[in-house]
Amino acid sequence: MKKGFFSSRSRRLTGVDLPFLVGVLLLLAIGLATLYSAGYAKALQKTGNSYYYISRQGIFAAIGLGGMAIASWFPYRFYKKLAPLLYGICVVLLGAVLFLSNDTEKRWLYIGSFQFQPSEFAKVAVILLLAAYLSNPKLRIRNFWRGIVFPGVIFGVCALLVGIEPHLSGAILVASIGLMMIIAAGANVLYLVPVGLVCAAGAIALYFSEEYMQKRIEYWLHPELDPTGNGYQALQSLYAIGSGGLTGLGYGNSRQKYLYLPEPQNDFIFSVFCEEMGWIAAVLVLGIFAFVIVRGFYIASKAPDKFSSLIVVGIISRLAVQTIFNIAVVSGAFPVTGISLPFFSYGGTALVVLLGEMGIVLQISRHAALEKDAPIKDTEQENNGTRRKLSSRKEA
Amino acid sequence: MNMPSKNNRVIRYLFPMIFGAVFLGLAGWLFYLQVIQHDKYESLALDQQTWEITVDPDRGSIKDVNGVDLAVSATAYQVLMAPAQLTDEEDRVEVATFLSEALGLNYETVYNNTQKNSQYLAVKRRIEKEDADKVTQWLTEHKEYKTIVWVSEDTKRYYPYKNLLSTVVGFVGSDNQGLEGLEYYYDSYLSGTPGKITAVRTAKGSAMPYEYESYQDAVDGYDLYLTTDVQLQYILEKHISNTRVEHNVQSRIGGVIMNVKTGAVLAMSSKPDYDLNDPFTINDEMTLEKLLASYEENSEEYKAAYTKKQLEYRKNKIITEQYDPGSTFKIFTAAMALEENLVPLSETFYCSSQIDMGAITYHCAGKKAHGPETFKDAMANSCNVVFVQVADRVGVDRFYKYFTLFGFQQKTGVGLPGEVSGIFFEEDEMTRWNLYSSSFGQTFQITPMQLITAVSAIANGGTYMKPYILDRVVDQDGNIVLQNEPQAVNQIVSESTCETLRDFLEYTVVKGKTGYLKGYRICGKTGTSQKMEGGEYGEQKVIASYVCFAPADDPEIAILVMVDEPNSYVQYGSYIAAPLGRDIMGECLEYLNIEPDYEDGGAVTSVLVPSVSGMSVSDAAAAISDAGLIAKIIGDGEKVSSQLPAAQTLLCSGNTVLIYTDSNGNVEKNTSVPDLKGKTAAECNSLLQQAGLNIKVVGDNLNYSTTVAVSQSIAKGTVVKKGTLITVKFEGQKQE
Repeated sequence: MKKGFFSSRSRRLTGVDLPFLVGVLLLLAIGLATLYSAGYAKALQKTGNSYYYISRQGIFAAIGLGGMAIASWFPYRFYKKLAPLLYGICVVLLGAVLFLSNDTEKRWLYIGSFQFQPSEFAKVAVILLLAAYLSNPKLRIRNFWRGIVFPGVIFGVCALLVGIEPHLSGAILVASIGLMMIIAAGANVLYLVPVGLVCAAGAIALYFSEEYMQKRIEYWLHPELDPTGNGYQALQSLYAIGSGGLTGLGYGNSRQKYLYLPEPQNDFIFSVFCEEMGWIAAVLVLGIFAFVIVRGFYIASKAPDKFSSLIVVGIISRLAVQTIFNIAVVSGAFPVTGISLPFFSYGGTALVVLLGEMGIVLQISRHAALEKDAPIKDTEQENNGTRRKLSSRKEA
Repeated sequence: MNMPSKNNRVIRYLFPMIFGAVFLGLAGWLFYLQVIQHDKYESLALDQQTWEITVDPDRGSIKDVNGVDLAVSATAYQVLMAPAQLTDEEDRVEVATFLSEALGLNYETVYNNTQKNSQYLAVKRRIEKEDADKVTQWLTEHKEYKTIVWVSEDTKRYYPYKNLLSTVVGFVGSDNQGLEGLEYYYDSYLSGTPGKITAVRTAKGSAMPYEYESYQDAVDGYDLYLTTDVQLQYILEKHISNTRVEHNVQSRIGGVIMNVKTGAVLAMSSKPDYDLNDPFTINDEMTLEKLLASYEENSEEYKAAYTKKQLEYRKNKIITEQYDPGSTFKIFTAAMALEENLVPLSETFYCSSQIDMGAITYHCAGKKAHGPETFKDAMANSCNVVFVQVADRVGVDRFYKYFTLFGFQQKTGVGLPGEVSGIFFEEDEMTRWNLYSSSFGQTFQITPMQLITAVSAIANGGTYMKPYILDRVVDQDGNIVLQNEPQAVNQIVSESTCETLRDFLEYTVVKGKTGYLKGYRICGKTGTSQKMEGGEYGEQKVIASYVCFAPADDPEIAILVMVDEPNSYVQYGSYIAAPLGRDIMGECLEYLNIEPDYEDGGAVTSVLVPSVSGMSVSDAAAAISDAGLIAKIIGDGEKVSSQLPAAQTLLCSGNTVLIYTDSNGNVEKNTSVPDLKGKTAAECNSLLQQAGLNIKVVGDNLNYSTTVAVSQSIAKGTVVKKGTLITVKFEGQKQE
């Protein structure tokens, strides 16, 4: 117990999980370099300043890195108390954005000259509240209502609010994070089977009732049917990726970024990366992503307590699902839907929040028993006052 | 409470494994897209990223034998547009409104074009500079459209001679591709190879800062040099156009001039034709009047008839249509008989205007009885009765053989599109009666091109020369790509046969008078064929034709004219076609510097010595004087007992005919031939006249001051009868 305590303490003082940090910084560096090239032409066309995207993203990256440092120092246990409050604020903001925004897709809130996406914060709030709820030792996690339905409501409310913005991919992302956290917390997976069936039935019903959905699926499978309209984005992205070959056209030499690709600086940034750098580099980037994700889950598995473990699971799940989702969309494996690539896509709120989340993971990694033979340490007692009292009462 | 280890395994192993598998799957999927499908996507991407701008080569010119341009490409302009960049409805309307007004286009058409998702679209091609300037001016005032609408160079085909040689030259379509005539037939030489510029463009059409440009130069088209001569063509067309109006020709009229020694086509025309610069419009007044008389203007029927006529007028009827050659074909029947020695020149036939050949009785034209006549007379009289008999001697087999040898069974291969061959009997189905009618050019059809080529063979001494109209093909650096040489196919008949025939035909011209041209020795034969109407030969509609070549002693050119359905009172070939051919021949010979045979105070006329035997001396003297000859009476009798030269001999006007009276007295009948060598033509004439002899002048370049006699047909000092014809050959050198 003491050894563990010291080990944990020394980690808190000496630092964070270096491999994870290096992975994150690598992704950020490659992401910024890619954005510089990919957003160049678009920035020039839209703003007259080719450096518009990269200069702004650079500033956000700096802010985000600051946030990451702070988060890596900020004791994670305070989140347990903050979670309900944060969640409440986010629900209010998500509601507010629906009324206040005049855009067709109501995602942005404007406060003076400052603008941000509440859905980015909502994901964090959902992760923290779910982690707090699911780590409650009194929770009968195997119970259908407590293990499935109640946590489902927690992420479902946010997913719904994001979904009616409308931001379908955002809603799916929130729901995926929630589901993975429920599973990680030990809920009875069998209960999810009927839930999954209902969802599948709903999706199928939606497909057959809405011609719009059928069209969407058709243009996903056959973008060449309408190369200048519904199939345009998918096709242009495939052109970019396919043009890359093994080694790519060379950094800066993407041709598709010259206004053929929609949003080359944002959702389709990975297409430009594939075109310029080729398959080998693309697989390298996928590898770094995979490394960060696997390392993240490793940190989660060695986390000091269930709360922190579930936070990491949530954050890493969000990173993994969003990355896969984006790459699948730009490579035509999924129907086109707006979802950005973590570390790469242009977007201030998203980057700052993402780096903040990475900071939280780093903070938890300070407490995790990451040595090869270190026992899984239950520091619940330390952090859970009731538990300690209970044991001391027993001793007494 | 410890975290259940089962959940820990989920986090530590299951989640990483699931995500790892998905990442592996994505890497595989990317491998498929980027490596396996690379070529496909790259080419699709390049298709849209690159602009392949075709650089049109300059189309080669078509020139006549002297290099005069008949078809040339000149710089014009075109207005281009990138409608994909017109995203605003108001802009589309503004652009469409301006362009339709400035270029005289339909607004709807232009507006529809502005909606297309294209980066390169031709609004109007081949516009003149004024229109192009209008657009340029507008663009300086509306700079926002500068990258959307622009003006670039284009080429336009001009035909400086309009209708001249139109059915031969042809014209090009909107993309500069040959549609008719030589433009079509030699399109591969004329069109050249387009060049390409490949450049990378952004989706908005501006240049990408990326090195991906390639150039491939255009190879300009080759020039065609024809064998035709614009001057001869002009002479031909002028005369046939005049005749067409004069004789109110209802159907076609055509003419062709050939160099008999080479087979080169010097001129070729069929009328009505069209202006090559405006090929879809009829510019013939006669036709337009007729159309308006038959149909209401702009009615459907009018338009249909208009289109039909207009298509008809584009045809070169010298090669694409057949006709009944009529009596002009007698030349070939005679050639066969002479070549096979079937008719002695001394033989006398008798024509009673008709001949019964069993199933069919054949008549001479106008049911005229020609009486006793030699073969030569029969040619001059165009006597069907004699030719039916001659054909009978030739027989079907030999007739068929020569018919084929003279090239009537196949296309001439002159090198023009749409050529057809004649329509003739199958060899094993040809009957005697087919043979008889064929002997005077009825019941079968050939093209004018076939006939003139065969006639040229007679003119040049029996060699069938393959006709050609393309002299050479020259690239833009002046290198000769192709050179057509005269091509002798075979010797059909002997030189001596041809010589006899030339004599026949010269005689025919002089006797026929209407084809005769003062100062020139021309061989020719007219033809008047009845046109088939509903499978029957009618009397009403005829084709009058005339074929001739000159000079008789050394033919250079042959001319064929064909007048289909002249609508004047007299329709015979001798009245319509022969004068036409004569007028063309006269101007052509003059243009070709083939001088009249003899010049001494005016061109000398060839005349036929009239028959004066048995006449009174005064009548005989009058007849000879009327014929333009000088009578010299020998003896002092009342009646003419004989004459020298004999009747029907060709003499130059001013020559002497000796009349011997029945009472001769002691008149010197004989005389000694003087020495003419080195004397001028005038001196020869005078010397021979003093001796009571006649002169026939042959030779070249007769009008030079250096021209002197070099030989005479009868040696000096020979004692001959007075009145004998001495042929004197002259030669002269052009003085520098």
